[in-house]
Amino acid sequence: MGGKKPQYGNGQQVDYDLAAAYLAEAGFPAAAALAMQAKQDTGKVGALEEAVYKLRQRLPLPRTVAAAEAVLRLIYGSTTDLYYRTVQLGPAHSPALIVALNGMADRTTLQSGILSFLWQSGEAPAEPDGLVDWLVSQGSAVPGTKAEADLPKLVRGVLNGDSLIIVEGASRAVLLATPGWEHRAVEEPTTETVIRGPREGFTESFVTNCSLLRRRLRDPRLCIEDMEIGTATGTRVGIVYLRGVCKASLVAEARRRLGRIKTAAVIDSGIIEEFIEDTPYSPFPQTKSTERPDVVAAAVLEGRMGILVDGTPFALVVPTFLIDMMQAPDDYYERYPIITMIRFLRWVFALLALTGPSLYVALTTFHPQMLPTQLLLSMASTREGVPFPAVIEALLMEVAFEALREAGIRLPKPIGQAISIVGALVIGQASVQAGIVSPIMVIVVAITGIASFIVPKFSAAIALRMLRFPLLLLAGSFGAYGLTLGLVVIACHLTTLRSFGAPYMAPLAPLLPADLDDTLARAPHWANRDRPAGSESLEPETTAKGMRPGPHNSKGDRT
Amino acid sequence: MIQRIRISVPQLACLTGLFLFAAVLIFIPTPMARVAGPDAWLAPIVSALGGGIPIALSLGLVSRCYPGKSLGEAAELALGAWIGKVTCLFLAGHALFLGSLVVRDMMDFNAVTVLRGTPRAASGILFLLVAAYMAYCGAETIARMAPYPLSMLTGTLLLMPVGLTRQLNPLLLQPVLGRGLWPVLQAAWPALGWFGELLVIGQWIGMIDRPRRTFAGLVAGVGLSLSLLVPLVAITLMVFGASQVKKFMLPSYYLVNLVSYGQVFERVEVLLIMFWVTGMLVKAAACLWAGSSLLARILRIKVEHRTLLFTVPLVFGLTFIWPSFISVVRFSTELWTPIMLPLELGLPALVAAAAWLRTRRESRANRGASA
Repeated sequence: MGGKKPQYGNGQQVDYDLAAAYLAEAGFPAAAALAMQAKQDTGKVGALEEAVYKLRQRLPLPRTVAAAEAVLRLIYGSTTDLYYRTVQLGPAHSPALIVALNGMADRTTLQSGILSFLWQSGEAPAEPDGLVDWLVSQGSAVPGTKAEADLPKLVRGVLNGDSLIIVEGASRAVLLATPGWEHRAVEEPTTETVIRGPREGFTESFVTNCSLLRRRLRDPRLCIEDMEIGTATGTRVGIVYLRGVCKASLVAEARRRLGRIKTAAVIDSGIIEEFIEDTPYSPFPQTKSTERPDVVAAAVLEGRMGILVDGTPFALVVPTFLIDMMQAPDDYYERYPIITMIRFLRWVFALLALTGPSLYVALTTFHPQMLPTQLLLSMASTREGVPFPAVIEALLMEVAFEALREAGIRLPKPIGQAISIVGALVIGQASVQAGIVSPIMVIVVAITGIASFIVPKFSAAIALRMLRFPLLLLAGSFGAYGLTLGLVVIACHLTTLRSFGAPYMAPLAPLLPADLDDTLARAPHWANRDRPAGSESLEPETTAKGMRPGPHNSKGDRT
Repeated sequence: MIQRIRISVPQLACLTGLFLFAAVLIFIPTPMARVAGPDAWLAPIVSALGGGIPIALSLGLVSRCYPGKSLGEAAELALGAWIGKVTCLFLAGHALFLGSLVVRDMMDFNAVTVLRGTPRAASGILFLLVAAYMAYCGAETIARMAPYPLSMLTGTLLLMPVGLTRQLNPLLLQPVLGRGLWPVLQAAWPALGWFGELLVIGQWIGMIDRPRRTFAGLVAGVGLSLSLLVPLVAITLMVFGASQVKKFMLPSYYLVNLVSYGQVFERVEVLLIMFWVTGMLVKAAACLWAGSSLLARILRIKVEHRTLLFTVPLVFGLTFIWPSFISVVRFSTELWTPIMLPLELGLPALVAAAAWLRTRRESRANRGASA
């Protein structure tokens, strides 16, 4: 141990003498001593790096380029994708250190920026702080370029893709906004496909997502406020709302809920969702996640808020109501009578997804008198020879179905399809022939399975799918009575739920007759004049009065 | 974003309507048919006028004098801390005892109708747990849910004549007031106490968003329950006739057994009973919540639903004081009104009178001070 200095990934070494001098000058003698020990003993390097990382919030900006490099090497560690270049901007100027992350900073922007500095360096003042100001003014063509004295912000800036320029002797450094990394192009969302409607979906890029929203809402009142969440990930999270339409208390509440999140990592909006919901133990989603900018834009127009998270194509919409879970994006682009019928179908099948097997068990086990005689006889004959009671039979089939569904999602697409087919056809047929389950049960489970996929929101559909198991047990033990009690518990839970303070069951419970024009039925756009009362918008009207189309006379009045 | 609990007047009306209709459904119209014969369908109107409206009037006055205060809170303000607490104790006792009667009704009803092989206690415990969960969710949730069982029951009642077309005989209601008004007034007696159960709703009046319309909401609720009860009694009488109805223990159950819609929906009684079960759940939850919140007030427990840990076992224990279903029916139809009516009419009237006098005195004093 000791003696040999550590070789970093980019072949450079940390100058421990400079680092120790800097740390001692900054008022951290223990860390300085540790730097001296690390010079002798490579075993201490880890401890030194950890100490510098912990002190990073309190470290001042190093005044020399060499010390800055030494400290930054300690902060960033032995990473190979970070490059350091010391350049001389002009013969009369102090040297400058350029630090940028490979792959995060756009090399072309950086090069053109540096070249333009070099070409015009004759005009630059020789005094270091003056040079920094000159660099910022030269780089102001690139939005976001700024001078910064705070070392932690500079460190974070490099991680965000900015290029750091530290001028020898200057009290501030320049962050040249050069973010530029590879990202997916705007594509059609895979989880929310539509027959008719926009095909654009959010991407993993926060900036792209903001622009997708801006393109749809060219209103100066559209506001996007962003903040960084996650000590390790530093994820950019933005709230999107329309000033004057979204209630100020709602915006304040969103700021408060997001601001209180203290966590290391925010990889996806799903993580944010769990931190900001009103009832964390509920199986029902209290925010609506969507990949579609048109859905977020429509929600923002209703006086709600969107939450964009960098690194994920899924945005959140708050507050959310249960009826949102039953609405698909193209509900608003297709003709309203058809959509009303389709929505009715969705609600019926959602109820079937929840109660299908339990209803079957309750009827066959406890209340066979409710079935028409012919049907009852036919069902009894198919169940002849099945060794299990109906509730066990249903549980077996339901668990098998859920396993097949999960396997189908996780497996590669071609294999997943094969598994689904094998599961549905082969295993189903074999179990009927083996007399383990009755054919009618296969039909019930299949219809229930299909019914659950009719619910447009996956998170709501999965909640319904999971809740049918306790209902099945209740129906198997107490028949329709147990099923009714179970449904009342679910209804009661849903009525209690709130999303950002707004009742989750609105406009059904509490009953808001003015908002019923976009629940089970959808009123035509010309008749749907008001924003939902449940979203507490300050600007109530969206559509002018008298927009009903029809033949008009020369004065423009309807004939 | 914590919002104050608010209940709208229509929600109050629906809750009141459901509260009064749900349990009465089991026993009505047997005791009335015994006395008033074919005129039994008029008896609920008299009962509502004699039992429901006076209490609604008292609660409306309390709500005007002390907007935003429940009956228990108003009792403490109007009658003083100690008498107020005793009043709260009576109110809590009434609510919890009524709750236990509702649970017991449910247990016995299940045991003789849809769950014949299931132990009574099992269905009772399940029912009580669900009601306790509803009470735990709070007054706002109960009030928001009330319109749905009420609309389901209304729908059922509207469709019932369609399913009973062949059995309905309007002539069985004849002659109207053949024996005069006195038998109708006599027949109204048992249901007076049932309408007096409105006292429990006194705990909701503190949450009404427009306190000045409390009386209107309560009267609308009484009207809603009447609009369901009167047709139900009339249909039962038109199907079975008064001479048959007075022998039945569960006339409404026998009635729904006859409902059939073609050859597809021949036996829909289970479905109809389940709609009724949801109504009973709301009623039991309302009683539990009212009793628990009053107890929390008396014991100065800030988190109301913590008292459910005590009230739920108490209510379940109380369900065993009646040895048999016959005794439950007898208690409900013969003893409930004489025992409870004085309390049901007297307590809110006392609080309303004291509240009125006190606020009048205070307003006079204020006027004097300002002059």
